Amino acid sequence: MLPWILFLLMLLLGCACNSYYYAPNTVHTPHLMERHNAVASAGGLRGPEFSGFEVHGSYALSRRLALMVNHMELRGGNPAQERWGKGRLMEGALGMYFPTGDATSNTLFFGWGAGSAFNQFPKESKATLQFHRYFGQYGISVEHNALRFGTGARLNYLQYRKGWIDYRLGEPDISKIELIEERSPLIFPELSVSLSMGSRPVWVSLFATLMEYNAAEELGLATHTFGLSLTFQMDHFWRAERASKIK
Amino acid sequence: MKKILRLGLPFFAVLLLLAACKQADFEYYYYEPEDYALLSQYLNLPAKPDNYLTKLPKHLEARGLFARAVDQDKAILGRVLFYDKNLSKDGKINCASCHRQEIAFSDDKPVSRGVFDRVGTRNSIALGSVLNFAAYYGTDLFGPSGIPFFWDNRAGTASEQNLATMANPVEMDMKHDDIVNAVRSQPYYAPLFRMAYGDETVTAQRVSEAIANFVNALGSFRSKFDREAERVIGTDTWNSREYMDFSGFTAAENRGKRIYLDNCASCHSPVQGRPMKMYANNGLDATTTDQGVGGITKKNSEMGMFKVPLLRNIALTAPYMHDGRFATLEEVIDHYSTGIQAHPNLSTELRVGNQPRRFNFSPQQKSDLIAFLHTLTDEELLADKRFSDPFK
Repeated sequence: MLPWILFLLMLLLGCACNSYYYAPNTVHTPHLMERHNAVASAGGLRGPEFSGFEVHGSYALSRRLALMVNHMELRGGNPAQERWGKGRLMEGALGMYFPTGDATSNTLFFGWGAGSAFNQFPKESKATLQFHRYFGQYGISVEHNALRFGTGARLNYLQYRKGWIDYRLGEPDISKIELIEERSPLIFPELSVSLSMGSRPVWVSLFATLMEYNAAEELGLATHTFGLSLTFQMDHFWRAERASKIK
Repeated sequence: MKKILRLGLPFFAVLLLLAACKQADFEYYYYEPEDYALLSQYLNLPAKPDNYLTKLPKHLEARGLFARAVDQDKAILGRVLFYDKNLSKDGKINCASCHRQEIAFSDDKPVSRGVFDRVGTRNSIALGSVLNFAAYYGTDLFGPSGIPFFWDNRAGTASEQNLATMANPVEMDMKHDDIVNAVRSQPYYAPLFRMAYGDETVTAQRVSEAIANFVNALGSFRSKFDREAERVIGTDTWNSREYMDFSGFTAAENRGKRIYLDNCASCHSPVQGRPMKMYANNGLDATTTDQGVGGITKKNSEMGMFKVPLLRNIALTAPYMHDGRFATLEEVIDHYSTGIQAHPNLSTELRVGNQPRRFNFSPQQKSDLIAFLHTLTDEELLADKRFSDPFK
């Protein structure tokens, strides 16, 4: 019981006791079934000691091709405290989608993104790391009545590029950052599952994303995030608009 | 559209592949360039600051011993202060004068000499005799059970200890104002104080705190004994065969360890962690003029008692005892073998009834015990650059 109370207290107080240099965004599995299908979602995200938001958009360019963009912003701790941090990731991907049957959509994307992790420590010492991430992901989304279930696996090639690190931030973070520099690029998989409830055009979705990298703790990489978002089937709106114009 | 994709995608993929090959290139900084240029005129400090974080071996952590975190920036400043002769009245003495790194931060003189060659009254305690200052010393952390400083245990913390040493007329003879003025007059301290404290204000408290952070990072836990103890971690110290016979020890070292565990460890600690007794009378004399702990507490029951030190690096830290009367380990063992005197406060471990105990070690036992004591030497500490003299 006590660990849970401490965990909840930590969440409420926004304690940033550890610093993170990467956090996984959701592996989105857009439910694309036909050309011009478009999905947009926005929602909150929470990790071990940080929270933030992410937005996602995907669009079926043709009968097979699709585009996806994601953006994530995270923040942990409080700037009024001595330790706090923020992170950002923006990425785009090009891929394909394959409907199977009436209710299942398979997606395969390859993409690239850029992000940064900023952490501030006591004495105003700071560390900023910039990274690029290349990825390939496969996802499947199944719709059944008012429910949608999605799961996606992503293989990441995380390449740290530039960093500006004040040595005064001390240990253990200096060692973590030096290890990141030494081991970059990092290759690791991530897995997301999502459960959505609603009906076209609006869904409420819950996400859980896990990353698997054996030295994640040693390098200060967050291993999981949870999200809650609103997902909109955007094509529904403009199809409805077009239909009303035709009438 | 298809043509664009056909031509553009491979081109884009090649560009991405090229970009993906780039290595991480992090830029680390600590001192401002102009500060580092100034410091480099006087000091050999690395551009990348030293790491003073201590991680004790598991065999010590398993016994509940942990190193306290030190402030890295203050420890760097403390290192310079520790070696700065400007902090003494005659400009010829620094902390390292009586705590020399090459002999485990001890002094090879029976009693130390301070400013103007003034003679002290006691032998310098080897800073390298303990596993780690911050895991060992300090009533601020451990409360009344904490191990205080000096042979007579009169200072509770490293800060109190170093301020008292600097003020002592037979050591550095510097009053608080003298310390502040001496530090202010040296140009290299401004950037170091800024790094440690955020501004250049010099106070005696800051000076002592910085030195305390430096010495709190000191410690000895990389000896042959530690390497062997690490291999048998989790076994019963007193009874297990693995502990009694370290596979990496010679037969003489193992025999010596048994003698040590049977006869010495009940005061000096079986694992060289924390002593089993904080202070004791070990029968050097039947009557004492230097009353040690009793001289501070004024208790009759504590007269003639002195700190029980740990024995790490003991082979390097001659001469021995609080007054440096024994020049060699052989002399020390001879004392315990046949020379213990009947002091009224003689430790119970050294008595048989009312009479002093005679261990009567054989020549072979003495030689084995000395072989074991040599396994407590930590060569890495002696050459650890983080603790060396930074002055050019």
